[in-house]
Formats: sequence, C-alpha cells, structure tokens
Amino acid sequence: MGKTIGIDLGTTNSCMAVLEGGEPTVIENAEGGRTTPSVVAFTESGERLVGTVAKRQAVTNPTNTVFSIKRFMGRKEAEVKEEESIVPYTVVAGPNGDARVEAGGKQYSPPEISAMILQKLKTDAEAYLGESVDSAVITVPAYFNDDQRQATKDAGKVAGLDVKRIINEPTAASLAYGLDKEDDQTILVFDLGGGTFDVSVLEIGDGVFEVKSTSGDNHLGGDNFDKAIVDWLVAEFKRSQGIDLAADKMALQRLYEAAEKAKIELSTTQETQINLPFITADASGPKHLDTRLTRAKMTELTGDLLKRVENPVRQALEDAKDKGVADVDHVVLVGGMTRMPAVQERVKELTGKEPHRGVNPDEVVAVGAAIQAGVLAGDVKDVLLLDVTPLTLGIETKGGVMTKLIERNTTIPTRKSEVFSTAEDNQPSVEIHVLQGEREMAGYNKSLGKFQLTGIPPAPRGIPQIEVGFDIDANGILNVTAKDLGTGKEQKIEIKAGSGLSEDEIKSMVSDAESHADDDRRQRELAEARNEAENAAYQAERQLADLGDSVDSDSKERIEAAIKEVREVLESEDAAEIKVRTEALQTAFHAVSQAMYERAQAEQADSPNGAAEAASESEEDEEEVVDAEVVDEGKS
Amino acid sequence: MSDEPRQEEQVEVEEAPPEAPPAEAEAQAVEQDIGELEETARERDEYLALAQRTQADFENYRKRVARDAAAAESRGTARLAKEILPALDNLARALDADTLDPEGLSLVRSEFTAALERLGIEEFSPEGERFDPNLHEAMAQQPVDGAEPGTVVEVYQRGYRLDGNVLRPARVVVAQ
Repeated sequence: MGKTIGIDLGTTNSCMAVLEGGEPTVIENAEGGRTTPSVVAFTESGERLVGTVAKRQAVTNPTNTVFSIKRFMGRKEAEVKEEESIVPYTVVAGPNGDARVEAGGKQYSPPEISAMILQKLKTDAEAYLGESVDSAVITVPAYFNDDQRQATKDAGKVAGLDVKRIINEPTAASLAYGLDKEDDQTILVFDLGGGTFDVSVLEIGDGVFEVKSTSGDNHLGGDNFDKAIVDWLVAEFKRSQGIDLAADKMALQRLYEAAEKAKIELSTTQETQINLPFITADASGPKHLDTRLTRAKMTELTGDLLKRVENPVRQALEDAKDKGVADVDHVVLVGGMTRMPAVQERVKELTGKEPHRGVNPDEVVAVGAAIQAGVLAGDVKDVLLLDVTPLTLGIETKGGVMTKLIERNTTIPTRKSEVFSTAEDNQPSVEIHVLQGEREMAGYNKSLGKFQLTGIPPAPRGIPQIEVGFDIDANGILNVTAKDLGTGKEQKIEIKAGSGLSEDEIKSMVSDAESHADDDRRQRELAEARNEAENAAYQAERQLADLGDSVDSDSKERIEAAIKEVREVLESEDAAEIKVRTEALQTAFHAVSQAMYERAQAEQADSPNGAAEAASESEEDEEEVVDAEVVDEGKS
Repeated sequence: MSDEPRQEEQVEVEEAPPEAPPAEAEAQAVEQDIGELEETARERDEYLALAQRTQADFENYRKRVARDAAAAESRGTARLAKEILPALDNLARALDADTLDPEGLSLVRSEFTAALERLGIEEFSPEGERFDPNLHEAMAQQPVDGAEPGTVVEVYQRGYRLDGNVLRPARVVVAQ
C-alpha cells in the first residue's frame, strides 16, 4: 500500500506534506520548491505544463494558461461572471451549466484542470518519497459547498488519488498546532494568502471541529500588498528622476521582487534598503534606485489593505456569537502575509489573543492535512509518542569534569555506553557519580546518585576498561551500569524518573548553564589541560623507566627537566601555560623516540601518552579517566 | 483459508472427551489459555518496547540529521563566500581607482563567473534560441522583424544552472 499525503490545493499555490515517523515533512516538488504554483498551461505544440514552468511562459501564452482554477471549482458558469472577466482565458458553460475552461483548443472542467495540478504533485511526491502515493487528504475553504467539495474529490480521483477525506483549511491549520487535543475551545483562523482572504471561527469538542462562521475577501492577498509597495517605489522614482518605471516590464519585475524581499525583511527588522542599480537609463546615463523603506512607512502604504481585513474578522466573530460561541481561545495564522507584523498586530487587536506561532504559515494547511492523513492511516499512535530527556546526563570524570553521555532533548527510550579507565596505578575501584545538568563541571550539576565498582585487578592506570552504560526506558527510569570488561564484574544503579525536577527548575538549570558558559568552558579547559599534562608527565616517566639505558643521559635529563616543568604548573590556573609545557614535554619525548625508533615513529607520534591504545576500542576512540580519588565524598 | 481453523476446533472438541473427564479437561484448557495469555502479554510488552526504542532511535537520528544538514548548509555558504570574496575585493579596488576602468571591471566580472563555475554554477544567455519555459522566463512578447515567432530576441537577465538544474531561469523577451 502506498503513502497517504496531505495536499493544500490553493488558489495561487499548492503545497503537500507527509507524515514520516510521526513528524510532518513538506515535500519539495521536482523544481526544488516547497510550494507549487497552481497553474496549468497548454502550449502550441500540444504539450501540457504545470507549476513553475507553466507560470514562466504565461505572458507568451495568456489565453491557454489557466490559473486560479479553484475559483471555478463546482460553480455554475452563471455564478462566476465576475471571475471570468478577470482571467485572460475563456470560461464557457458546459452541458449542465457548469463553468468550463477553454484552452489548448479543448474544453476542460475545473476538476480536470485541478487534477493536472494534483497529478504533478503526486508524481513529484513519489519521486521524493521513492514509493507510490495512492491516496491523499485534500483541503478546501470552509465555505466550500457540497458541489465544490465534490468537484475537489473528483479532481483527486482523476489524478489517480484515493481522496481519503476532504477537510477544511482552517481545520487543517488547527491540526498542525495540535488544537484537536483541546476541548470546548473556540479557534479563529486568519488566512491571508496570495490572492484570497478567509476568516473562520471553529469550535472544537471531543476532537471534532465545527465551523461556526466564515467571512473574507475573495480578492485580497499578498499580491495587493506587493503592489502597494511597488506603486510607491514607482511614484518616488518618478518624482526624483522623472522616469516612469511602470512602463518598463523588466524594471517592474525587479521592483516586484524587491518589494517582496523588503516586505519579508521588514517582518523582522524596522528598516530595509531597496537597492536596484541600473534600473533604467535615459540620455544622461544609467539610473539607479536606492531607497530606504521603514516598517512604519510600509504600514502606512498598506493602511487601506490592512483596514480591509478588519470587517471580515468582526463579521465572523459576530456571526459566531449569534450561534452562541464564546470568546476566541486560540488564533491561528495562515498564509505568507501573516508574517507581516502589522497584520499580526491587527489580528491581536481584533481578537484580543496572541496567535500561535512556529509552523510556516505557507505550509501550515498542508502540514495539518498530512497529520490528518497520518491519523487515517493509523500512523499516529499514542503509545509511540515519546518523551525527551529535559537535561543532559553524564558522569563525573577526572578533575571534576562532567562527561556527557546522553545530551538533553534526546528522545527516550535510549541507551549509550562509553569505555572509561582508571586514573591511578593499581586503582582497585572506580566511583560512578551520575550527574544531571548542563554545566561543564560536575560540582555545579545535580547529583542523581553514585556507586562503586570494586575488585578491579591491579593494573597501571589507563589499562582497565570500564564500560559505563546509560539506559533510559520509555518511562524515564535511568539505569546506569558499570562493567569491568576485563573481569566481567558489574555494578548498577536505578534512578527513578524525573528525579523530582519541576519545569521551572529545568529551565533555570538550562539558563544557568547558558549564563555560565564562558566560565564553565574555562574551568573545563583547565581541568582537561591538567589531566593531559599529568598524564603526559606520567607516561613520559614510565617510558623513560621502561627504556632504561637505551636512552642517552642527555636526552634523559632533557625529558626529566620537561617533566619537572610540567609538574610545576599543574596546580596553576593558567591553562595556556600548562598546555605549552605539556607540548614541550611531548616534543622533547617525541624527538628522543624518533631518534631511537625510526620504525615506530608513526605510532609514537599518534599516541604520546601510550595508554590510548588500551582504550582505543571505546566507542568514542578517546580515552577518558574515571577518578575515584578526586570525587568529593561530602557532596551530595 | 478462514474455514480451516474452524474445522480444527471441531476436531479438538470431538477428541477431547475420551482423553479426560470434562472438568479436568476444562481446567487444563483454562490453564493453557492463561499460559498463552501470559506469553502473549510478555510478547506484547517486548514488541512495544522494541517499537518505542526504534521510534526513539529514529527521532534521535532525525535530530542528528537536522543538525548535520544545518552544518552542511553553513559549510556550503562558507565555501561560496570564500570563492566570491576575492572578486568582491577586486571590485572594491576598481571603485577605489581614480578613473573607472572598464577593462578592470570586466576582469572582475570574469572572476565572479569563474568563482561560480568552480562551484558548479554556470551562466547561460539564450539569445536566438527557441523559448523554453524549462530554462527561460518570458517577461514580454513582442513582434520583431525577421525573428521567428517563439524565439528569444532579448535576454534581460542571464540564467544560471547549478549541476545541470536551473538555479534561475534566464529572463527573456520572446518574438511574437
């Protein structure tokens, strides 16, 4: 069985998404776009083009390029006279009075044209997913009547899709924000798209959405806002340069692009520079457009348009109230234009509620449709909705450092293990101190518990391999085991879920770590530099002893001096100096070993501290040292 | 296939009585059922745990992939910037010069295109070619003397390809 995808079949653009492993993903089309223009064209040579490619050739082929087909879906020709006068292609009445499009020398019903768009989406989705797509959930405006819904369903069928359900766009948008889990709530969905504006008031109870009222403006959208900015740019340029850019198609195109870019940029900044060099030329030479647009100016320019959203919102709220709907609890924004801060403010003023954020407003309807598709296909199961660990988990290692095993925000259940070793020669036991928190140093984190693994046979430090494993089950219960890989001896501890941390405590631990990040990093670097220095001195000493008389006395003295230098700064706070001296020691030793063992050169250079080989089977390929001695027993 | 199990059940019922008294057989059957139930419950828990682990692994994998993708994107941006910055430097030099030097500017331009080419981005200018909406975007259509209808008569803006795919179509005027 193939996949079920969610499709937002829009008036100007369409978008599709799929639920993968419980997470909605927007599917890119073959051209790499996340939305596809709802445009179909029939070329002279009889070819059929859909999407971006159809849009690109529109000016060469206006009467055979069909856009805004959604406006004709399920409508009688007599009802759509106004729309007919706007589009450049011919609309005629079919045998039963239905609106039909005449293009490419043939008549097509609106569902047939929509099917061509759906067909492309289906093909592109199959290419993206690498498997067949045989069914879909398709969205329609809440105000669509039965005929219009049926027409949409027919379009799906013609495209070879089993339409599992037709759902309302505002419902899909609410689903994308998980509002189906709410009970007895009122939701206002504000949808300002490319060319249409819809407001819907929904009520949710028992997981069922009911549309209480709808309102809107069929010819208001982002295009109008772009035009307002372009008109201003044209007027400004005419005033300063005396040239009318509106007459120059290429200049106008560049202005539209610049206006759209400015509009998007002004969603996050207060001011933007519009810079269009060589926009035109006259007898005196090339002319450049270079102007500044502030957010306040844009709000002023689009004031009339912003006003036009007010009445439909009021109307929808009033109509809903007449049906006994209480005040609005949630506001959901749909459509690219809702990124504009002035639009958001207007919505907030009108509804008194802060809108939901987080899902891309161009994609939110398709995402909701994909979630619905997932529910219908049985993909969404509560038992597989998993938690994440709110804070990082790890153990204390030499020098009071917290070594992280499971990072925060890891989905559970999960397990992770790493191999550690001892810090001293003949160390008989290691203490595993389990920590939770984001700070680099163990002492600043929360201690969850500690235990000893004893009975480690005498061995030089760095040789025993102690595997420490963390396992968190689906209920958040943490099991920590420590196993001596040499003897097979094992010890463990179980730590109950949550460990009593409240949401606020978690937040404060995370923000604490952020505010101390620099200090912590310094401390950790110092601890690590000390560890490495100490280790280098130890290894050098041991190897000197091992090599015995095969080292000439000069070299021996040099290395011993270097070891002494390292040990002198071990307790200092100067990580840089510690590192310098450690390197000096390593270089000195390296020179000696190189002279002595030409053949073993590579090996020696790679592991100046020798013991790395013993631990090289560890997952991290990096030696870590658990030091029982350093841990402060008095601390809890 | 659905018929077969029913037949088996019947066979069992028929064979059961001669082997043991009814009460004992029933007790045995119940015990067996309980055993099976327990086994099934154990299996269910195992499978659920497995499904949860697999799902969690997948979600963690997805988080890592998202992190990797963000890092790759940032590396890509850095690579592009590194290629382009020298040309930008030379553009600044051209502007600092006392006189505008068209030859220098045209060198800077080739530096830009060469930088883009090293990243697999190639430029195309389709003047005189047949209009193809896969590669071109029509800005206007005009009757032009001597030009065959449907051919590109003017290129407003060059197009760019990245690894063979259209990065940006060429913006053109098409003969009517």
